[in-house]
Amino acid sequence: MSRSPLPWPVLRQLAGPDRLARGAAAKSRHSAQLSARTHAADKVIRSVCPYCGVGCGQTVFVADNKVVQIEGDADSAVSRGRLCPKDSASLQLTTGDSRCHEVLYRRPYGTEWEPLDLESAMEMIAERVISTRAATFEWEDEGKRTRRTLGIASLGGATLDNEENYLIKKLFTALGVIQVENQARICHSSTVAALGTSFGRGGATTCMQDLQNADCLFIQGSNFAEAHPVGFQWVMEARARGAKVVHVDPRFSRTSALADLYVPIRSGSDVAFLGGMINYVLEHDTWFHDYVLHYTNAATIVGPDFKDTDELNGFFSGFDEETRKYDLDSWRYEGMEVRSPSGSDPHADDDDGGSSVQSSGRGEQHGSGGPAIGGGQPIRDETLEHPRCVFQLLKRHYARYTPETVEEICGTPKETFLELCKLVSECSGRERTTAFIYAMGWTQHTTGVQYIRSACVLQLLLGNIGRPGGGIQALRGHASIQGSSDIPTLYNLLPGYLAMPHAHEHQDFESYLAADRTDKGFWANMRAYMVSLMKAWWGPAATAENDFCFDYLLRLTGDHSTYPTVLAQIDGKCKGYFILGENPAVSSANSKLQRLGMAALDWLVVRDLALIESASWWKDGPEIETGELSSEQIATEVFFLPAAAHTEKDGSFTNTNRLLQWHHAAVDPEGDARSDLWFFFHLGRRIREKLAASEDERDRPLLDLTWDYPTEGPLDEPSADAVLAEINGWNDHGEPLSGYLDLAEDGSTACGCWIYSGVYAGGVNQAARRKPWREQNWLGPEWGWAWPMDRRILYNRASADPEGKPWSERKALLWWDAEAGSWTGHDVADFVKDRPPGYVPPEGATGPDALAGDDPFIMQADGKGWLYAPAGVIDGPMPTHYEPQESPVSNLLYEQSANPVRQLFERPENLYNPSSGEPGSEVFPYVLTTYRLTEHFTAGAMTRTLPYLAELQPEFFCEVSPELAEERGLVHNGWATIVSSRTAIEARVCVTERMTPLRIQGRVVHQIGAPFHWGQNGLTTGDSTNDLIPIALDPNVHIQETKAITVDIRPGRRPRGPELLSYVEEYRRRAGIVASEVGS
Amino acid sequence: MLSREAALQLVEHATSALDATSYEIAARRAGLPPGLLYLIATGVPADSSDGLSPEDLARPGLLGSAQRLVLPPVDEPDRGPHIREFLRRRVASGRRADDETRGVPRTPGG
Repeated sequence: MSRSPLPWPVLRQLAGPDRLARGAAAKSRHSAQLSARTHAADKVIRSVCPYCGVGCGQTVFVADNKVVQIEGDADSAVSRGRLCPKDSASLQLTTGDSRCHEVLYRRPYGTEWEPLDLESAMEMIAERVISTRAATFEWEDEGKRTRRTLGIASLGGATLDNEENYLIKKLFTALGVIQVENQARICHSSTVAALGTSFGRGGATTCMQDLQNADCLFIQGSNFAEAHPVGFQWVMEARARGAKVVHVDPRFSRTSALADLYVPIRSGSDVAFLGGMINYVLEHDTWFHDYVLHYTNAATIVGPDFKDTDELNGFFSGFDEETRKYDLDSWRYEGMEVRSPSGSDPHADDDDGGSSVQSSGRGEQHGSGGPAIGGGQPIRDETLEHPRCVFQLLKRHYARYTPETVEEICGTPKETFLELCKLVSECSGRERTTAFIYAMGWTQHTTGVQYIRSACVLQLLLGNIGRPGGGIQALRGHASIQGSSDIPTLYNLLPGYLAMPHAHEHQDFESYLAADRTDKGFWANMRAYMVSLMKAWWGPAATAENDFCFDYLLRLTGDHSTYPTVLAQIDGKCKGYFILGENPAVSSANSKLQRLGMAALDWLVVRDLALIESASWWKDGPEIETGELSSEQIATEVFFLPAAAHTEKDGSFTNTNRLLQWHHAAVDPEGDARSDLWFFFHLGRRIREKLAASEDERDRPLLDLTWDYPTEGPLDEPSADAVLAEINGWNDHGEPLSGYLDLAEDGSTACGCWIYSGVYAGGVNQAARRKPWREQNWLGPEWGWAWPMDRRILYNRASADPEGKPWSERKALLWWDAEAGSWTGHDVADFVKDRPPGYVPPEGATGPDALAGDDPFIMQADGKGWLYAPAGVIDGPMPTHYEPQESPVSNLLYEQSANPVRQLFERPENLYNPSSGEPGSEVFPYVLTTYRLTEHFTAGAMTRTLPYLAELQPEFFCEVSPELAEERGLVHNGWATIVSSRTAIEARVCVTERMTPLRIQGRVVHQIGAPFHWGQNGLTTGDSTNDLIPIALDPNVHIQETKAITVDIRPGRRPRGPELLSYVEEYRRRAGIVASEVGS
Repeated sequence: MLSREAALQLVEHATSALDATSYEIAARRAGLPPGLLYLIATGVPADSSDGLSPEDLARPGLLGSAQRLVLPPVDEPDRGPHIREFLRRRVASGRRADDETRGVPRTPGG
C-alpha cells in the first residue's frame, strides 16, 4: 500500500487520493502492518473444543507444522461457529507457555523435580505396575472369587477421547485393576441412574439444537448462560420465537437476567420444589392424560406391602435400621416374581453380600437398559383408580407438597411459585412442550438421583419426553464426560453400561445375565452385547466353551469409587495411582483428603498438559504450609508425564447430546508429550512383553488381550480409527457392523461398546461427518454420530399418539407411515422401525418382540416411562424431600432429616458440621453453594494457566448479599474467611444483590456462592472451595454433596501456617465436634 | 469494484447449480479472492463470522457453507483402507487361532 509520508492522519487523508477516508487513508501504519493470524496457514483441521460438553466445532489453522490459530467452525450443527472465552483461548491452551513438554520425576523424599527421559519413565512405570499388582493381587474376598488388585487405582477420563477411555478400561480390566474412575463420578453419575431408571437410558433425552423448539425452557440447577454459553444460543433462539425462559437458582446470574422469570430457591431443597410442581400438575389436572395413560407406568399396580414415607415418618417400607439400607422387595409391582438368578449367592439379597451388591453403584448400570422388574406381567388399572396404582400413589405422596410447604422449605414466594407452575403447565400438552435443563446444581447432592428423578416424573406427567422442544437436557461439563460414562473409566461399569460383575451375584455368566437382563425390550439382548464385548477384548481366546472369558473379568464386592479409594490410600491399601487429566487436589470434595491420600502412596503417575496441583502437592500444597506434611517425609514417587493436546491427536469426544464428534490431529505433540492412547497402548505393550513368558493364571487376561493396534508416524501413535473400529465392532467376515441389531450371541461378532455400534458403519468414520448445519434439518443428522443408532431425540415414538399420528402438527417428529409400513419423520426412529402402532405382542413374546406398538421406552422392562421406580434406585421409588447432610433448617416434612441411606465416612479427616436441631449447628449458620464461571474450567488446570483467562477472571471470590455483608461486617472487594469443620479458606468478597436472603420457617437464611476453580498453581491462584466440603454421598452412585453445605463467614484473611489448624479446631470445639472421637 | 448485482450475475453464470465451485470459478474470472466475491455478492462474510438473522438467510447467492472459500485446504485423511486391513487381520488371526484349537492344518501362506 502506498502511504503518505505525512504523519498526521487528517493531513494525510486530505493530502492523499483517499480524501473521504474510505480506504487507504483510514489505515494507520500499525494497522497496515497487521495481517490475519490465519494468513500464512497452509492447512486447516476440523476439531472440537476440549472444554465443556457442548462440543463446539473448531477450525485449527496450521502453518509450517505449527498450530497458529483456532476459530469456530461455522458449519457446526451444534455451535454454528460460535466460541466462548475458553474455547477462544484454546490456542493458548495448546501452544502456550504453560504446557510442559518434558517428563519430570520426584524421587521418594525428594524436594525438587528431576528430569527423566520418557523411555526410562515408561519402563519404571511398567515395573511399578507389575510389582504392585503382584504384591496386592487378590483371587478371593470372603470366599468369593474376585481376581483383582485393590493396590492400584486410576482417576480421569472425561477430558480424554473415547478411544483413550476404551484402552484405559480394557487394559486395567485385564490387569485386574478395579478402582478406575473419572470425573463423571463427581459430576453426573446421578444423571445416569435417574434418567436410566426412569426412561431406560442415562443420557440426555434430547439435543441442544432442539431446545429452539421449546415453548418454555425450565432451567434449574444450572447457570446455562455462563457455564455453557454457546449451547445457550439455542435457548435464545427459542426465546426469539416466543418461548418463555424460567430460571430457578439460589443465585441470580446471567441466565436469570435473560429469563422471563427468575425464581430464587434455597440450595438443597429442589426435591420439595419439584414435588410442589408435581402436586400442582396433579391437583390442577394439567397432566397430559393420553400420554400418561399409554406411555407411563401410571396404571401399574404396586404390591400391597409398599408403605410410603407419610406412614413411616420419612422412610419407605423395607428400611433396615442396622444396615441403613432398603430391602426393595416391597416396592415391586404387584404380581411380579422375584427372580433368583441361577448360580447366584442365595444370600446376596439379605447378607453382607446384599449390602455390598446394593452399594456397588447399581443405579448407574441402567445407563442403557432399565432395571429388571422380575418375572411376569405387570397388572394395570387403566382407570387409574386403583388405590395402589402408581398414579394414586403419586397423588397421595405429593399431596403434602403444597405451595405453602414449598415456600416454607425452599424460601420461594408462593406467588412466584404458582406463576411458574402455571407457565410450565400452559406450555406443555398436545400443542406445546417444555424442556427441562439442569447441571450440577441437581446432581451433586446426597439425594442427587432423586432430584433428577423428580424432573423425570414431571416431564412424563406433562407429556414432554420424546417430543420436539421437550425432554431433559443434562448439561455435561467436560468434552467427553458422556463418552467416559458410555465407555466407562468407572469401576462399576463395562462399555455400554453393562455391569461389572459382582462377586456375590455374578459368579458365572448365566447368573450375570439372569440378574440384569430384562425379559422385554432391547435390554433382553444383553447376552449378545456382552459376548461381543468379550470377543473384542479377548478375540480367539473367548469361546463358547469358556463363556467367552467371563472369568477373566474382575469382580466387585462393594463401593470401589473414587472416595473410598482415596480413604484406602490413606489407610495404605491402595499404593499406586494414575491421574489422567483430572485434578482431584482441587476438584474433589474434601480435597485435603486427596492430598493426604497421595502422600501415602508408593507411586503416582500424573498425566496432564501442565503442572497441576495434583502433581505438585508434595512441594507446595496447603498441607506443606500448615506443616501437616513435609516434602522430606513424603515417600511417594511421582512421575509427571506431559499429555498431548486435542490438536495433537485423532479421536472422538461425546458431547452432552450423546453426539460423537471426531477431531483430527493437526500436528504431532512436542518433546515428551504424548496422547493417552499412546501412553496406554505402549504401557500395555511393555507390560505384556515383560510377562510374556508367565504361566501364572492371573496374567492370562492380559496376555490373551487383543492389543495389536496399528501404529503410525514418527511417534508410533496407535491408530485411533482402529480403536473406534473395534468399538463399533465387526462380523466374522471382518465387515464393520451397521449397528447393535447386528450383534450375535454365538461369538461371531466382536464389538467394544454395543451402544456405539454403527459409528463405523460401512467402514466410514461416522463421527467425522461434517455436513454444514444449514444444509440439513435442525437435528443435524449428518453432523457427527449420536448413540444409539444415530437417534437425536430419544424415545421419539412418544412424539406420536398411540395410533402413530403426531400429537399435533406443530410438534411432529416421528409418525407411522402405513403405506410404507414403517416409522418415518425428521429423526431416526427410536423404535422397531416396522412395528405398527397397533401391534400387540403375542403371549410369551420376549425381547424386542414383546414391545407393543405403543411402548416407546424400548429399553425398559415394561416399555413405559417410570413415574414410580419399583427397582433401580435404592433410596426410594418416588422422590421425597430430605435436607442435605448439613442444613441450617430442619426437615419440615418428616422427623428424618437427611436421606436415611446416604453414604457417610465418619473419620477424623472428614468431619461433618452439626445440622439444624443438633447442638453446635449455630456455629455454621450459612448455606454455601459452589458454581462454575465462564472463564474458568472445573479445577482450573486448563484455564488458570492461560493469560487471557487469568486476566479475565483473576481472583477467587465469594458472593454474599448486602444483608449478610452487614450481618458479618463483610466489605465489597475486601477479604472473607469461610469456615467449615474441615478447614477455612479465604476469598475476595463480592457484595451483591444476586444473592437473595430467603425467609424460611420464620427465619432468614443466607446463602454464599463460591466458584470452585482455584488452587495454588497457575497464573491466578487462590484457595480451593472443595477443601471446605465433606464427603457425604448419594447412595446410588456415590456422588458428593457439593452444592449445599453449611459454613461460617468472617471478614479478613485466614490464618497462615499451623495457626490455620488451631483456628479450625476452635470452631470444631465450639460446635462440639471432637475429631478424636470420630471413628477412623 | 464489482457491484453486488454484477457479482451475483458472475456467480450465476459460472455453473449450472449454485455452490462453492460457482464462486471459485467466478472469482477467477473477476480476478478476486473467492471469499471477497462472496462478501460482495451476499453481504455476508464467507467464514460466517457474523450472525445471520432469518432475513439474512433469504439473501440471494447465500451458500449452506461458504467456509471453504476462505479457508486453506482442509486436511481430513481417510483412514478407511487402513482400517479395513486392520479388521481383516483381526478376523484372520481369530480364524487361525480357532483352526489351531481344532487341530486344522494351516494352509501354506495362511
